[in-house]
Amino acid sequence: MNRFEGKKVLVTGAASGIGQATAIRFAEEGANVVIADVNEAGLQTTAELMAQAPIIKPYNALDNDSSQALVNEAAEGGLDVVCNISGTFGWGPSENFSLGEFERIMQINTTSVFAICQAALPHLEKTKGTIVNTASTAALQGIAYTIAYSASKHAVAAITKGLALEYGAKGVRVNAICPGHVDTPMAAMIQENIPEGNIDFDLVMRNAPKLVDGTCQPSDIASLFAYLASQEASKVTGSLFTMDGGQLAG
Amino acid sequence: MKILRLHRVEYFVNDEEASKVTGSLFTMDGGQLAG
Repeated sequence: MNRFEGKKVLVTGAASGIGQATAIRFAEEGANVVIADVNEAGLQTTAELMAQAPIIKPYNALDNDSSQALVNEAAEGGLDVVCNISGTFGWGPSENFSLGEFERIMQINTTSVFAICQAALPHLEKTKGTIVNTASTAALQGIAYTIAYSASKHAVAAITKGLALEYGAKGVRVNAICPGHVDTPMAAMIQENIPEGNIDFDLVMRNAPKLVDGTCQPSDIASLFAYLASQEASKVTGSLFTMDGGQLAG
Repeated sequence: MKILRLHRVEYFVNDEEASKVTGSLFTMDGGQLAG
């Protein structure tokens, strides 16, 4: 398929994991891709894996001015698709969870996502473009010991649906993907860094994937980004699409 | 128009690319349920 020939696509979080796979996928389908991340070395690695040379834009999601400058630079010459994939994670018993860490997670996962959407929407109005955000299964249920992350992703779901309402009449679609467990460097980091304190692991593991091989690969999630950004999804807006190997089925 | 929409859903969910999707409800409603 070559669904994005002549389209400009901004992918944040493109240095690794889902973002990297998504950048590769859009380039495979003919897009002119702008890849962005705080990890400049990772961006170079991603660029080497892409079928077409991307535009590389380092930025810092902790800085809203940086997030919005990224969009305005990426939109030079037009912007059709924004994939908000940058994110971070932190977990631990709530009684000891640092408020500073809570705010850091909210800034990267939520505030920066809104800042990018806000800057992108005027450009997307011109092209009748689309935004695909990264929520999570943590946007659809509470997760013990993961309050900040879950709150940040619930907020992404709310941003997605609210913007879909505001911009539907202007021809801009806004959706979000809710991945379950994905085999990424961030997931590996979570497993390798077990926080101190009392943790009931039965609570942590209560929503394991139901499929035999239910852990998603980054490329699985990338395929959903491509679908939601494509014309095939032209009637989809304000939707949360779950790809989780059946984690939330029950 | 409804048939067309169903075809569009089928295109993704029957594809190999959706091999990790099960138990999910995908909405294609032009934003009806956004709020």
